[in-house]
This record gives sequence, C-alpha cells and structure tokens, in this order.
Amino acid sequence: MSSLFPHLTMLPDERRHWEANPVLLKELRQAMRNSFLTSSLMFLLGSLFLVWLGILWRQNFLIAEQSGTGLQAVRAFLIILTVISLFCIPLYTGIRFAAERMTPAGELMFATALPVWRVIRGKFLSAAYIQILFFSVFLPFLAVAGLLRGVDLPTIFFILLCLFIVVCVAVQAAVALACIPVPFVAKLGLGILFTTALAGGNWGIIALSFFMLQAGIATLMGTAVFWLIFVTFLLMTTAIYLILYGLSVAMAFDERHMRRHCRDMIEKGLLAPA
Amino acid sequence: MKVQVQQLRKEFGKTVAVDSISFAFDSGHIFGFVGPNGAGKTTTMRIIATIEEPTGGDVLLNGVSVREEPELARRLVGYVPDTLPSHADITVHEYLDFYARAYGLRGRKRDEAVKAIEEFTNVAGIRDKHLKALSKGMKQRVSLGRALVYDPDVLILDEPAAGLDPRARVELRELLTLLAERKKAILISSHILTELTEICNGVVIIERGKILETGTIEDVLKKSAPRRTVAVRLLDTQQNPLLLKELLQTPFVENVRQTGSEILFESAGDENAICEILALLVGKQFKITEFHQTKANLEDIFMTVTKGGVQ
Repeated sequence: MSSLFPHLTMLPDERRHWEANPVLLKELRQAMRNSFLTSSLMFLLGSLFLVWLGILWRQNFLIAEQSGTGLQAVRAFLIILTVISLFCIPLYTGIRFAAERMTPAGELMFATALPVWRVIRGKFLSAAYIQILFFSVFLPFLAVAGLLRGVDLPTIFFILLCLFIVVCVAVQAAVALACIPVPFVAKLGLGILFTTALAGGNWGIIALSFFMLQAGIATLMGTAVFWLIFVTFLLMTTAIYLILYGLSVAMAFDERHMRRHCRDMIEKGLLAPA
Repeated sequence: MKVQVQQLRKEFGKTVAVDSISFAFDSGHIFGFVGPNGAGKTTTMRIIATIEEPTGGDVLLNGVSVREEPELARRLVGYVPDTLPSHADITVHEYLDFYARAYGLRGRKRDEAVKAIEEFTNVAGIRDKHLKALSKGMKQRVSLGRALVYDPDVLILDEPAAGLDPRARVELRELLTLLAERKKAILISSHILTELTEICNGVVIIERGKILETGTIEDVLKKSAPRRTVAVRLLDTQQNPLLLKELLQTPFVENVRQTGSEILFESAGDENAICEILALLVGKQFKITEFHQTKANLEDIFMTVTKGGVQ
C-alpha cells in the first residue's frame, strides 16, 4: 500500500519537501509543444465555435419558440467533447508511451532511480491535466448556452464528472496497453481493438448523456435505482482503474524487478509475523 | 569505487552475446572496451547500466549487485548510449532537469547541479534549444551531461566519439581525463583505438562475447607484442647492405628487413640489449642518423588478437 500511495504515509516534514512528479512535469512540457495535441485542442475549439454559429444561424428568434435552443446546443457540444476527449487523450497518451518505450532514449527513463509506479502515475496525471484543459475550452460555450432556455447546469456538470472518470479509466487502459511486452505489430493490433472499443464507448456515453439531459439529474437523484447505478459505476471504474494501474506497473517492470517485488511481498507481507 | 564484472553471461535465444566474461576497474581509471562489431560490448555495458538483466554472473559496483539491487546500482552508474537523445519537443535544459529530478535532486541543489553540468559539458549556450535541432557533437555532450547530472561514481560510455569532428574528439578526451581525475571509474568503448591508447589506463579486448586480452595498456602491449621493433637510418644509404649483414650476425636480432631507406629489425632482448646493439653499430663506424623503437599500439594488438568474427 505504501509503495502504491506513498503520499498517504508521508510525514508532515516530508510533505514540506514534496516536489511534483518529474514525469508529469516532463509530459506537460512536451504536451504543450505536441502538434497532435495542440491541433486537437484547436479542432475542439473550432468545432464548438462552428456548431455554435450553426445553431444560432438556424435559430428562430421568436421567444416563444426558443425553449429547446440551449439543450440543442449543449447536446451538440457534448458530442464533440466526448468524441474528442475519449479519442484524443487516451490515444495520445498510449501511442506516445508505447513509442517512447521502444526507443533507446526512452528506455533510459526506466533506468533512472525513479520507481516505475511513479513513471506510470506521471503519465496518467499528465493525461488528467490535459483532459481538464480540454474541458476548460468547453466551459465558455457552456456558459453562453446556459443563458438560453432548456439548460440544466447540474445535469451537465454531472455528465462532465462521469465523462472525466471514463476518460481517466481509458487513459489508464491505454498506458497498460503501452506497457504490454509484445512486438510492435501485436501492440498495433491491440491499439486498433482499443480504438474500436473507445468508439463503442463514445456512443454509449453520448446516449446516456442525452438520457440524463432529458430526464434531469434532480429527478433522477430522487430514485434509489439512480444511486445504486451511480455507486456501482464509481466502484467499478475505481476497481478497473486500480487493476489497470497494477497491471501497468507489473508489466513495465523487467523480470528481476518482478522477482524482487514478489519476493518482497512474500517476505514482508505473507511471512511477516502478525 | 570498484567495478567487478564477474562471469557475466547474456543469451538472446540461442545466441550467446556475452560468454562468462570477468574484468575489473577502479576509481580514477579509464578502461577501454574494444572489439569488432557484434562482439558483445554494448550488451555488457547495458548490463552494467542495469538496462539489461544478465543470464548469468553479476556486476558488482562497490559490492552492489546490478542483478539483485538494480535501483541502488542505478544511482552509482551514468550511462551514455551510442544512440543519442532526439526528442523533438524537449529542450536541453528540460531534459537535464528531468533526469536531475528523476535521481532525486531537489530545489536549489537541483538547479545548481543542472547549471554546473551545463557549464561543464559546454551546453549552457544551447540550453533552450530542442534536442532534435542539435548537432551530433552537441547531442553527445547533452547525453554525457545527462549521465553526469546526478554525479555517479561510474561512467559507462558506448562509442562516445563516433561521428564527432576532430575538435569535439579532443574536447571529449580532455573531459574524460578531467572526470578520471575526479575519481570516476570510466569504461569506454570506441573503434578509434589510437585515441583510447592516449587516455586509457587499461583495456579489455572482446570478440564473440569472450575476452581475448585484459589488463593495463602497458601489460597488454608487452604481452601481445613481446618483441621490440627497432628502426635504423644511416646517413649513407649505400651502407645499408653492410648494415643488414652486420645485424644478421648480431645476437638477439631477428627478422631484419629494409623498408624504404630504413632498416628494421626485431629484438627479443630488453632495453639493455637494444643499447648494446646501438653501441655495437656505432663501434663498427656506421653513421647513424636515426635509431628508434617502433612501439606496438592498441590497433596492432587488436588486429593481432581478433579475427573479426561476429555471432
């Protein structure tokens, strides 16, 4: 436990000397210069803007007939945001990590004094930051849409929270795939399967978002079934994340690390006196 | 710091890349690691740098096993690979800063270490350039800086002089000599053997994963070329046939031959025997303008002991 979450066992004095994960810093510095990521961000911004113009263009300006304009705009925005964040961020993280592990310069990153779990966590955290950046592009459009009728802000924030969680799990899955020690062709095949799964996941999330927008979160929260589904969703995503995280760390270790890790676990865990 | 390579073995499938090799070197020493392509040099170096795991044997860095305690061993070793960093989206300063952070340097100490390394490796002027935009020589400096930023006791350099221009090579040699003076134990592989002879204290010659020769440069030269070759030049080259005849009758002299205007001979004797031969020739009224020993170098020995085989 302490090796997976060292900050939980950190003493106050140690916290004072805490520094950000080096991999996180490096990844964020590199992400800001990455043409794929900046293009995706510009594409997101441009798409949101064009959709917004399109909606306004088709708009009937008679107040009595405006009731669904905000909802219509938010639906369009959510489709764009879901597709772009669920595709771009996991694929960017996964492909980049896989490519990095294959180059001699990249493999040196695994031969530093930095534990592998910190490398994995740095990769994940950088993707989470990038996701927040993508969401921040969406928020001004949401704010303007909020001025129109038919927009239920709590429902939208709830959908964004769920989307954030799903993208986080997808990012961890991409990192785990990048860590699988198989040849490039096999990894490419796995990547294509993963992308297909992401496409399927996209439609599922969009359909669920539309349902929630239609029903309204306030109404749903009043039912026990909603809470049952929501808690199950949280537990499942947490469990999947932890399994993928553990797998990533285990697969990124080389054999001797695995041997030592297992030996330490047996010696310190199972054989330790009660 | 003592680096001990003990019965090191590495197999890739059926190929034995490194076949139970053993050698050792100390702080302040520069050890040359030479061999033909595919001899197992890079594999051995990657094992010492904890990137590869050995199939058998071990490497001890002051008693720390790279096999059993790779995390601890990593803090003691700086590795400069033959492939240089070429990330498109990271600057020299950010690259060095990342490795300083990765090795646990914090706050002001880290900033000072990175700055000192940038100055030491002479990359301070290009600290904001992207790695991909650098020349090979500059990348080599950055790579060396990366390996030095956390001040390791052991340096492993794989072909650091490959592709460098003459000035960069001279600077690299000076840098390595300086590092050896700072008590670093250095293992360097290179195909430019004349350069290795100038800076190395010791040498390991490897072929097909097996060590052919190892020891100090002097020992290896002595062992591999026990005979001394002496060149004599006379003022009057007309006397060369007479000199040839005289040398053929002299004890301890063998393989007498004429090369151009010089007469070459080999002697199995020591320095005294060479002095006596010179005295004898002067006594016989030969007008000698030059009399010198042509020492065997690492290149000659390399060509003698290796067969150019790969696995």
